[in-house]
Amino acid sequence: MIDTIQALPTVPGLMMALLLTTATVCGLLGLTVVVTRVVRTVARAREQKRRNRVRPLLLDIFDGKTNFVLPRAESRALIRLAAESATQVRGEDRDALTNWLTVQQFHRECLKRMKSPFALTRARALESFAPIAALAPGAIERMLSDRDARVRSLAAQVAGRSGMKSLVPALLLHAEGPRSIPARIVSMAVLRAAPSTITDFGDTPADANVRVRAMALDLAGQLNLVDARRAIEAGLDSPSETVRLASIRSIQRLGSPLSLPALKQMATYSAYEHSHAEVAIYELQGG
Amino acid sequence: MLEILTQVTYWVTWILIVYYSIYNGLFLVVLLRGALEVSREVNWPSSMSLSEIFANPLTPGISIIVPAHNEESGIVDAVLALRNLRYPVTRIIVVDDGSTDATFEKLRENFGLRPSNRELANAPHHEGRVIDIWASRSGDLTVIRKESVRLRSDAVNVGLRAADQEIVCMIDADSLLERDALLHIAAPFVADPTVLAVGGVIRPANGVSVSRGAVTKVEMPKKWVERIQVVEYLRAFLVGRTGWASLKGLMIISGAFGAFRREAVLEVGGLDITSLAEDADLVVSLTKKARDEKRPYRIAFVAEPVCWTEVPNTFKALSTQRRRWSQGLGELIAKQRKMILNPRYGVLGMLTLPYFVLFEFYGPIFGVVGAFVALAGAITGLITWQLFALAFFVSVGLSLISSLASVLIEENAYHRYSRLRDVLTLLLTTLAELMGFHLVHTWWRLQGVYRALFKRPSEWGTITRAGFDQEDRDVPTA
Repeated sequence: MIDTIQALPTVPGLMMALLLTTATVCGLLGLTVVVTRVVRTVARAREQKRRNRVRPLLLDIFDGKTNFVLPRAESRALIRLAAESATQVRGEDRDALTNWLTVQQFHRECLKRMKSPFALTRARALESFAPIAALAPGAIERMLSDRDARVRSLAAQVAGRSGMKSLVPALLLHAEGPRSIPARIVSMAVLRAAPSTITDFGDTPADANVRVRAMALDLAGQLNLVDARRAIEAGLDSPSETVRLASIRSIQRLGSPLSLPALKQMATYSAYEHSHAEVAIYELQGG
Repeated sequence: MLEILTQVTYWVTWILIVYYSIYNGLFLVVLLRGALEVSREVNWPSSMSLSEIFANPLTPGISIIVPAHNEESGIVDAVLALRNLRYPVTRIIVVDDGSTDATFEKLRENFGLRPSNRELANAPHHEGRVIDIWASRSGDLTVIRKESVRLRSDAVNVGLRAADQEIVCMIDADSLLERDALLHIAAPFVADPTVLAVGGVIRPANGVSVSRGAVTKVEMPKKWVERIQVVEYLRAFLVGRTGWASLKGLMIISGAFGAFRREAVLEVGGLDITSLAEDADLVVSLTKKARDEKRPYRIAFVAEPVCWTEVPNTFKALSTQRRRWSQGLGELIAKQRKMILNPRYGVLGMLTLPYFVLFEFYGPIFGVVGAFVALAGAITGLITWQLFALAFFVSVGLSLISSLASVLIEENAYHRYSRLRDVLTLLLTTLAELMGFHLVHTWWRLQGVYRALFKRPSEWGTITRAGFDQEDRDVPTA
């Protein structure tokens, strides 16, 4: 039997090598867990102390007293704190913070990081840039065509949150194409930007692309833009059913009886569309 | 004769080595993908996206379906906690599944329920007859009383008939959601119209403290049976499912917490009430339908810990649960056998299902037979200790490394256990799990395999709930 076993292939010292390898890898993993915990705890405590020291200076920034000099580490902590706070305050306080951040060249740093080859870095820079996005709408518009889908979506959210009405046409146009943004995110961003007139939509209510046009008309209705009535009525003559249905929905939302003649004259090509038009006519007639 | 026995032992041990090398090798790939995905999720700036979802009128509404059977001790807190979640549009549907305690009375008293004339949709199919429907004054809470057929899936199907929002979320009455859980789980639906289902990381709630429906303190539980499940959940949910999802091969979204596009669930007829693994069955059915119809689809998974659920705190209850899981998996595999190794079903058909068949379902057979042959062979001298060491390394050693790596991923990403003592306990538990519990667990799974293969009747069993540790409700005001 011993002969048989010895005839089978074995590697000398294998048992000890495997045991040592397992023990070493497991030991290293366990040690890394503990070291990670300790290092993080210490680093967080330090950062917290720094933040506590510089936090009162935020009030000075609100009051326009910015002639303080800080060590480099504390200065960085204050910039981070100010950038975070800028998204949480409104009005003059926000203006004061964004002005101070601009003086500190924070926007330059963000814009530089927004050109990083790494999507994560670009996304984080984009979020940091959000409070001062109005300074460079062009940069946000460029990010709407980013090569990473999640960065594009984030750029749309930043555009909406910053209320940049000038970006509404760009947002709508990015609902289609090879580097598109999900339609719902585009719609949410446009609603958040809250354009107050159809002129903020640019040429999109008459765009050649069916989905872009339908979305623009739909959103104009959702935002209750009274001056969009003619553009919406023009959509009733579109060869696309998607656009015609969007126009009917928007006319219903606007609720203007002035749209009745256009609705009655429109040609419907399916029972589904016809029933929608009939309901809209009924509602506009005060039904 | 002895020579033949030696040869057999030798080759069985080698088969075991190859088997465990593939098993643990594949899991290490899943683990690596999971780690990358978790790292990406943690570092991605998501706070703005979440607040945008919260603040927007176009955010899809969520119907939350809560099947409840004799949950009088926790149902009011559960509904209150759901009402406090940060999400713009939620409709809570509690399905009182033939409770014999005061579950319904407590709901009626606390939420001012009134009889409702609400009509239910015709689909999906369910067995238990609906008795009556009640609704709160504000309309955000509906309670449906039905006769029980002792099946959770039957209660969920009744809830689906009442669900009227774009997304349906199924949650157990004893699960507790993080405040932003619905925002996290809705984000993939908003970002990608092809997403059909989203799963979330579930963690054992044993050992955590709860105040006003929110988790306030996370500590390792006191009992070893609970601690072991903490490690298992870290490996299976945080790393395993995140990894499988990133490979586009996710097969299971836990029944304790998952969100689905309502239309998609209705298209597959809701939950299969005959299945013990109805949660996995639903995901597989959704994938199958989308693939059969060549529709773009995605099953997503959110790595952020969003749901806490009470896990069995006795070995008896745990054994029942694990037997059921194993049996359910066997039944699911038998039902969907045509998908296995079928390229039409992508990663799910070519990788996930074969992996679950070979390693998760039949794993206990290989484990028990292989371990016995290898150990006996080494002791009797039929194989060398070196060969046994190799088998031990690829089975136990690599598993231990996977478990420790999962703990490291948790510590790097979420570090929810606040005390260093808990982290050390977690590390110690990974050893205990593999050295002792693994054998017992293999035995329970083997029983489940037997029940599935010989088509024994399904067994649900009852788990006694201890409830969450409540912190003082009276919080001093500043």
